[in-house]
Amino acid sequence: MAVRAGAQPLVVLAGNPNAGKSTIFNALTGARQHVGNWPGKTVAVSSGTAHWNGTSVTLVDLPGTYSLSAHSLEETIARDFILEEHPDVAIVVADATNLERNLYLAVQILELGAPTTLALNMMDAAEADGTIIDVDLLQRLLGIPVTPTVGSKRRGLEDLLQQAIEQATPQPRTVDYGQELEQAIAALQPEIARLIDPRAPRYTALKLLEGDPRIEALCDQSPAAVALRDEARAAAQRIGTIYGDDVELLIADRRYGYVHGLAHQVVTNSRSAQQRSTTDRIDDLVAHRALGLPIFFGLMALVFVLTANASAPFVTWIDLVVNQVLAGWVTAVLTAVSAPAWLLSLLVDGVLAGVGGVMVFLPVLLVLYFCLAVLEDSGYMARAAFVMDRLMHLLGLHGKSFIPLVVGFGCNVPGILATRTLENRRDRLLTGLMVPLMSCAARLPIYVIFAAAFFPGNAALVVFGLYVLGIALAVLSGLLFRRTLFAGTADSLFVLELPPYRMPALHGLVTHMWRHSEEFVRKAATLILLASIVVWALLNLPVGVDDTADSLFGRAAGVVAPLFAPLGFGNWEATGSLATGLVAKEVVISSMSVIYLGDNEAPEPQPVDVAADLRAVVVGFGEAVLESVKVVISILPGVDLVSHDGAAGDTSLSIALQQNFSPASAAAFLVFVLIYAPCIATVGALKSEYGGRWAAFSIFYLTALAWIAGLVAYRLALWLG
Amino acid sequence: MLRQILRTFREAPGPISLPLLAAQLDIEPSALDGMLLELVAMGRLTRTEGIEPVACAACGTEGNCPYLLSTDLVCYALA
Repeated sequence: MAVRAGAQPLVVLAGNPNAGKSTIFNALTGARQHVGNWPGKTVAVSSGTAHWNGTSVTLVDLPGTYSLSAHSLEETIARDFILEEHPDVAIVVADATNLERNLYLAVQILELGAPTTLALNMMDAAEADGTIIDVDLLQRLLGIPVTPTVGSKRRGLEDLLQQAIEQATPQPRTVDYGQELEQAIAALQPEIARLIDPRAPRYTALKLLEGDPRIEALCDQSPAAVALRDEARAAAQRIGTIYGDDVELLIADRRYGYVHGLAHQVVTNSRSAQQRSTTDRIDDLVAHRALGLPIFFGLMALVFVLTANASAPFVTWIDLVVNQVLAGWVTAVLTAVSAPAWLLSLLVDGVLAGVGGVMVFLPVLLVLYFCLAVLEDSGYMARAAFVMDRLMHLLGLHGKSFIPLVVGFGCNVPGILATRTLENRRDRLLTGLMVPLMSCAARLPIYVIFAAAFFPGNAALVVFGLYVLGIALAVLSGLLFRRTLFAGTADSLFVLELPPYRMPALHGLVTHMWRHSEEFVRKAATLILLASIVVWALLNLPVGVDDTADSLFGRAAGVVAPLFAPLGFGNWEATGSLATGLVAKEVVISSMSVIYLGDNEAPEPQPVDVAADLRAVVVGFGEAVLESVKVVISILPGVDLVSHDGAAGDTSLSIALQQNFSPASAAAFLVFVLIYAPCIATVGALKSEYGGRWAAFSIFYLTALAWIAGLVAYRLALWLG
Repeated sequence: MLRQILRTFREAPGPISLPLLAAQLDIEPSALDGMLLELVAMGRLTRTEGIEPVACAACGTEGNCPYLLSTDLVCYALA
């Protein structure tokens, strides 16, 4: 596209992405803009006209880049534009809160030889952060005009334009690349100015020494230029031999060193002990040596109370929708069209019971992920790792390991992958073996349904207790491994960045919540659906089986069931459900739904009143919202708007479980679910990260530990009555 | 600067994350990020992120795992 408008000066805006370049461009040009594509490229270019003091200039907004190294399309476009269009002025927009990174591009543009001025944008944010930039010193060191701006508030923009038009200078200070390189540049420059580029001979010399293909191609024009290229190559080889590295790296190394020194000289942080930020003051409390841990556990307890109680009314409502309304409608429709009994049983006892049984817990996960997103987005989670670091070190463990463990609360697979951030293999392995003991979200529906069915008065406490038990067992296992399998390993230093606290944005919270929960829904529609169909099929094979205990599933599970008799749940139903949990932990619930809620008989059709059903669904939702709000408000001290315990109401499955488990065996089952062999995705992660032997070790160790802990829990529960 | 970074990687037992390296070298993480990207573009370092296909065969998020994305799992290693 043609960018010059007659004799108007041409000014380009260059800068890092998110430095506020386009904001300044929009503020300076207003509606006088044209948006097109770079010739032959799909990268958009904006140009417009700006006016100052009777002078009009053509302004071009270059693509945002971090450098001009021509490694990307945007970098190539920005570099070539400056080299080929020869703008009268280049305005480099730098983010003042992030000056060092932004100065690198500024220095490269200076090397191109274009008259340049620097805009220190977002100065208000830098000042709020306590960052002081010595503008005069920066101006003197760079040898170009520097203007503080706040693009979003149009502050400093007139000065910027004035300086760009009147004071931009083509003779800035340059980077000193060291004796050998400077000698080579000096030797090449005169011939480059004569043969290739008289405007930017120093820059071209640098690129020729780097072996830049574009500049080398320019040398093909004449034998003299070819000789120049060969001379540059010989010099580059000589210098590379001296330093033991290639010239491209040496040049970038010196340039980064120059920028680092520059930033060090002009940037200071004014925040003193008297001007402590809100973040510092909050950290005094939440990262306190004594109070930090109780606050962490208190917040986690609050999360689980909210999760269990606020979601409970919706759990009951979805159970009504799926297991009563939808099941009734499907039964009625299939009966009306005289569908075969097996199809009716498959859809109602298999698919609806299995998938519906898991989907009932979607509200639980939504609330959990919302709460965790609040902690994460506010910046607290980083403090949790910091606080736990002290405890981990106290126990002789690696403090940084808590980060993968925290990640493991969501899903164990990324928790295991997150161990890659640890420094050595022993730490990675040790932490990786602990991660499966972190209760992933997939186990939460199992906890919720059992806790609500057997411990209705203390459901939230039971769920929270299971999470704490998981952490405690992980810590104890870590200690055990440290003293046996990994004896003699020294602790590494723990360096953790603590981001400033910020108010979470509702949009961000909802996005996080849904992105996490979406996977649960997707799994329900795929893996759990498939597992439910397989379990239903195995429960109905061989064809004609009357008693599900005699089915393939029942008989196979029955073989293993006696092993669990000491734990109080030595029946094929519980054992078989646990086995299916190896596919994914949520499948335990879908299997139990198929086993306990389905049977071999086709469901009896009931008369369907669609209007009454819809009314019940709508009214039920309204009641759930109201009840949930009451529950949330009742968390405030001294407020009690709910008369019941607030745990999940009785669902079809919880009623079935009450008939097949005792409170003691339910406690043992929960403890076993918490600990036993991880799902196949987690085993796959263990295998890929640490090898098959360690994955096998994890399976056997965790299953043995689960059995022992389940036995202890069962005996303890019986003893406590 | 870049040579110092490469030296650190040569002495490290494995991949290093940005925050850890920034603390080790006492460089602003955002400035260091630019240097690391430059080294990646030069082919001197590799950037590792995302999920191992083997580990997540049963997951179905196809590399968009929200848990993984929410972690600081981006590491760098010598190419």
